[in-house]
Amino acid sequence: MNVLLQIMDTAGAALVFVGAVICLLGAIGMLRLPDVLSRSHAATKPQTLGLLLVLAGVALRLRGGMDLATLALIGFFQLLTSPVASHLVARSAYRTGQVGHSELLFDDLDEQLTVAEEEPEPGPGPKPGPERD
Amino acid sequence: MKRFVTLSYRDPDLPPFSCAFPGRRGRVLDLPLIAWLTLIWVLLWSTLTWANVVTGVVVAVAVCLAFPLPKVDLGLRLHPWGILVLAGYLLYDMYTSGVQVTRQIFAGRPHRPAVIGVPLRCRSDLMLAATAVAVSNVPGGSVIEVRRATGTLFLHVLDADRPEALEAARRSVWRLEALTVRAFGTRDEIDRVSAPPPPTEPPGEGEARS
Amino acid sequence: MSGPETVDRVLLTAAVVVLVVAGMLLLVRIWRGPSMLDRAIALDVCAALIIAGLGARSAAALDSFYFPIMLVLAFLGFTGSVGIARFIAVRDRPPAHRRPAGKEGKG
Repeated sequence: MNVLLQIMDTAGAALVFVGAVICLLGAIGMLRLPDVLSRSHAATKPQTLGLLLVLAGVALRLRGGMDLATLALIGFFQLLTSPVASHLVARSAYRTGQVGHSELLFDDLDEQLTVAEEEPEPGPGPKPGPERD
Repeated sequence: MKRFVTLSYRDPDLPPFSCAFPGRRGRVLDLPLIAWLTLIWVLLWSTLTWANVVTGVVVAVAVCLAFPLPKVDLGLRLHPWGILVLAGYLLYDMYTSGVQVTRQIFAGRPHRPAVIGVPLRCRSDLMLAATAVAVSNVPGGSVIEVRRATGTLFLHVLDADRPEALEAARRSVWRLEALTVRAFGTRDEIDRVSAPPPPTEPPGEGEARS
Repeated sequence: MSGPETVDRVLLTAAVVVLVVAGMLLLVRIWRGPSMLDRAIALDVCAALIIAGLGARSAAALDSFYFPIMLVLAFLGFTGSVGIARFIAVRDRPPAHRRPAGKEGKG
């Protein structure tokens, strides 16, 4: 029994370490990738995976019922909120034109935005431009 | 005679799992919301005692009465088996997308990103939002824009060197949409999702899939 | 201290060191970031790194004292970058991209 607990402890520590390394990979991606949208990929995916691994490792080491629930809630909210931030940043980046349109392979949204601009909108907007709202 | 509390199964006007207080303003309490707030309260105190539960219920009811939400039925149903399948698929997907993004990071050559539009089949706002959140974790998908009227998601795909990659991204979005709606959607939405995905007409590959 | 405990301690210390290195790389990105949006994403990642670091510390000390802090960070860590993306980035257009000028000049 004691051996089993010891194995769980060590496995938890190993999970925490692996998660930290994956977080480091995400941070390296933040440095290496060329533009904002690619960086937001690196920010969400390896980051969330690494954080979930760290939380799983902590859960393996602590093993209390209440602690497990809190850790699950932390992971759940991280999963829920990080796409929100990433989506708002991506939307803002696209609309302020910080995306290299020449580097895109193809782009479905560009024509949609320009078509939407040509249509007369109800009510005269004070500011023209796609970044109004 | 008036009851102090009207439960939802006595009054078909109320949304499911809620109770109403009589009075001038007719406050409606959403019971699952109160249970959820109480759970978070107890977890914040990080000890499970009766005092914590009781104060949590009191605070949750007070908050819900002080800041009332509009009386809408969000269309959220919980299907336990669907949630399990979705969680498993999301974990697997997160692993593969983490590997893929890591490979992109260390590939020396510049990659070709693309922005694609994927029309979805579900129509309710909650399902759109849940699908968008889930899609943020698929290999190479970061949501740029959501068209609510047509239910279209616009994704930024990181690794789009080949057209097959775009096709694969579209197919995985549809698969994830079906899983999400099977986990959280109403019966109506599940029927809609079971239909084949709508045909897209991107430049070059405008075939209708079956 | 027995052998396996030493292994645990080494692993957790290495995890904390790796997280600190990741935070330094993020600081480089925040310092260099060409636009406010890059800094916003970096701030978001920074909150996740703080959660991971607190988790590593809890795993080392075997206590759950910092869990509410981690929970609140997971709740609210995204609000900063949302605010930046919503209100500041619209005003801040870096002149680095030649997209609008180049496209309209040719077409």
